[in-house]
Amino acid sequence: MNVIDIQKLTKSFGSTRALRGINLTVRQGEVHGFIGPNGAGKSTTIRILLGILRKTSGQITLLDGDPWKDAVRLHRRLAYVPGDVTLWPDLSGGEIIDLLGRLHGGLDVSRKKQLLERFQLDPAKKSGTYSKGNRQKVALVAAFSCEAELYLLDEPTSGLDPLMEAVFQECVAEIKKAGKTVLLSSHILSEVEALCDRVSIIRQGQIVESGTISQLRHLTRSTVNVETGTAAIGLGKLYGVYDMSRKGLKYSFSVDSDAMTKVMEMLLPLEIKSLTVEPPSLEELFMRHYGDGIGEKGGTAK
Amino acid sequence: MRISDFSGTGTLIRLILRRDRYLLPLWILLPVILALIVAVTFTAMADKGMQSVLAEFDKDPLVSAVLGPVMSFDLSGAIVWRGTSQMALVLGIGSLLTVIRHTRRDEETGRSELIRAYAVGPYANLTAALLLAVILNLSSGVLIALSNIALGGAAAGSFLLGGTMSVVGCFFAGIGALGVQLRENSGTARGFGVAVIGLGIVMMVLNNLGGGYTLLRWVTPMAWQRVTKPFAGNHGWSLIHFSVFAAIPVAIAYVLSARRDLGAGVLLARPGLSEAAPSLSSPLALAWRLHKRSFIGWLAGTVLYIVVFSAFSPGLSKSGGISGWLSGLGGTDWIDEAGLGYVFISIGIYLASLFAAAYVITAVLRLKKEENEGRAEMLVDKQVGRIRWMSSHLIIAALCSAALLTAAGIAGGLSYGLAAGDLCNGFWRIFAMNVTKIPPVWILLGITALLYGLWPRITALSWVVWASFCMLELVWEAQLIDWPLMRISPFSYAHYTIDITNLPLPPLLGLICLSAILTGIGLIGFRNRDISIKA
Repeated sequence: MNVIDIQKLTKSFGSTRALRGINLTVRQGEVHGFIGPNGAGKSTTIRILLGILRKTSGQITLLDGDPWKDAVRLHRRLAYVPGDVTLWPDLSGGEIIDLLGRLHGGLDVSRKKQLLERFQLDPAKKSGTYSKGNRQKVALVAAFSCEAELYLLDEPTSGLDPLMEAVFQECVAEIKKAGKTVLLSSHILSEVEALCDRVSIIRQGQIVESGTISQLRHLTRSTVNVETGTAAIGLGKLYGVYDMSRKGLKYSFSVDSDAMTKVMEMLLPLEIKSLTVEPPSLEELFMRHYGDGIGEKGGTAK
Repeated sequence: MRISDFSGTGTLIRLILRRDRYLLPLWILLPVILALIVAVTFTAMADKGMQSVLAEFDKDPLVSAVLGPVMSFDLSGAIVWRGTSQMALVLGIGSLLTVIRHTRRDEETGRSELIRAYAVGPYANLTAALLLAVILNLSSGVLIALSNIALGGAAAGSFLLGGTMSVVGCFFAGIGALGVQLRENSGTARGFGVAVIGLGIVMMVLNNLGGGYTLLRWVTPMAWQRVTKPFAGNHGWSLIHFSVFAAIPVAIAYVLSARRDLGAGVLLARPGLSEAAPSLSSPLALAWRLHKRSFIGWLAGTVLYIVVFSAFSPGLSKSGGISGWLSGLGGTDWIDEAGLGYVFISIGIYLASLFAAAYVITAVLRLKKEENEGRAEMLVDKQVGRIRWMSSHLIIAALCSAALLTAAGIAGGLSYGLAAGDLCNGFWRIFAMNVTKIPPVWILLGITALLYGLWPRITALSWVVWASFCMLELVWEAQLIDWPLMRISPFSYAHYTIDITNLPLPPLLGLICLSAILTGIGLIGFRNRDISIKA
């Protein structure tokens, strides 16, 4: 069952087309990573899901309703953390958490206390004195103290220190264990890799890739380091092989996943002395999709 | 509209009550205090009987041109006659700012986004802010009524007066609600609201100039008491008309708010420049860039105000008569000879200078906003000293306030000169009246700068000082204090009772020196204190 189902969603601000036909599905119980460069449309999509921006066209189903028309009913079943939290400077953090909890329709007090402790947040301080990270914690504690089926997290950890980042990851893991669904927009790729079952990459208002991380890896190249007994003539000219460099009989190159078999067939008769194949790092994966100037398959093909 | 569209309104009202727990009582009590001050001053004047005092004022051509005819010749009538415009102004500003603060300001900062992600309906925020404004106005109205009854007023008239004031306040709350729909920033909403209030004041005075019962009184909130007539016939039914009138901007606001995205306005955001203009290269240039828009708004308002009054006032002189009230006040001889219209515009310019002083306070307090929101920090870490940063805003505040009065002098001078048919003489006199108000206005700049530099937490005190100077004028006009005490106010050194052709200049130079000293102390104070950021 899909918790979020978006088809051909577009959104224009005047003449600016922020979203140009987004297709995105988030299944129940999964942690879905939502990544993309700045200004790609992540926050716009999430705000449309929250019903605070109105879509220009397309279909959206959130839980079992329409995010614009059924906003209030749906919001009782979801929790949201924005990436840039502004608070009322004259209210204390504790007051704000309780207020948000009341607006949700109640929060779990013991869970709140536990979260305050884990995030090491002093709730008695006026929020005007909080640092960026502490303001972020206020929104995180409020959201995680609320009982919800779906958590919409829009760069929720910006400004958190690595210790708090770890606490955040624990919290998301707990939510997932409880069978809840999470849509996590983030720039921290290690966070995405650690937490997400599936990932969607958005660029210039369109989803350019969607799938599990291993599926996405499959779409891109691995790095091969090989040492052979005899010279591998013509290896660099094979279809799907890039960035060839050679030192004596040691070759280093990257290769498309679908060209791997051909490459191995060519190498086998040449007496392989050593061989390492590294899957693409998540960074490389994202660089390929984020980057504008990098060609279709990336790199400089030979 | 469904019930769920308003879900969360109750909690949001409690949030606003919590946030404004100090501010709300102030807005509620201020109009009551104003009514009491009027009561006290008139009681003090009325040793020869309230009726004769009011009758005397009513006959005075100058006074009734400004305040309109008296409707009821007793203490309650005095409060209605002298106090309603101030009460309407305070309730109007209070309602306007309260609504903007809890709607657009929250959207602008992103707090609404946080709130709306919870089970909060799209109309909840607007509804909470408006309900709160209604509570504010009703409480104030009831207190005005009760204090009037306590002073011996009839109950029906007292509640009608309170009710009229409440409806006026609610009208401006609606104007605030409408203003916040327009653009994505709260500055536009405030500008829109202040423009409507300003228009209301101008229309009120025009209505008074026309005898007090022109058709204008139906559409001028500051003159609605001339329709409802508390203590003078009690036309209570017209409150229903005005409630409907006040509901119009509210209704438009609801319709517009449903049609726009959260955080956006109905008018689309205009793109800015992709590169800075070459001139934007110093703290001073930045300060000008930041102050420009509000200055243009103030400039337009001031010029409009002065042109309208300058154009109308020569006509007053033709009606003849002299103001016994004014002659009795200043003890100066020129007023008897000068035409009534000439005195009228002198008072008008005096009032304009009080508004210019209010402008200068807002301009200096921009410093505090820049500091608290962390932008000062971004500049002071560059090759910009603290003194240079602070003085950039002060220079703009000084120049812009001077420019306001100079522009008013030119526009008013031309308008008056042409209307009076004596351009040369008229122009220079009106021009001089305006320009000589610059030194007292700068005193407020100095005081605000000093407070900001030394004790940034209590900069609100500059408003108290400003209000005290205004109050001093009122109390002096009521002849409760003598001229020497009035001299505490810097505005007395360019007072309208002093003939402009004979105005002594050394005190004005003294004021300029004093404001420079105050400013200097403020600058030194700022250099030596912590910069505080409250995000």
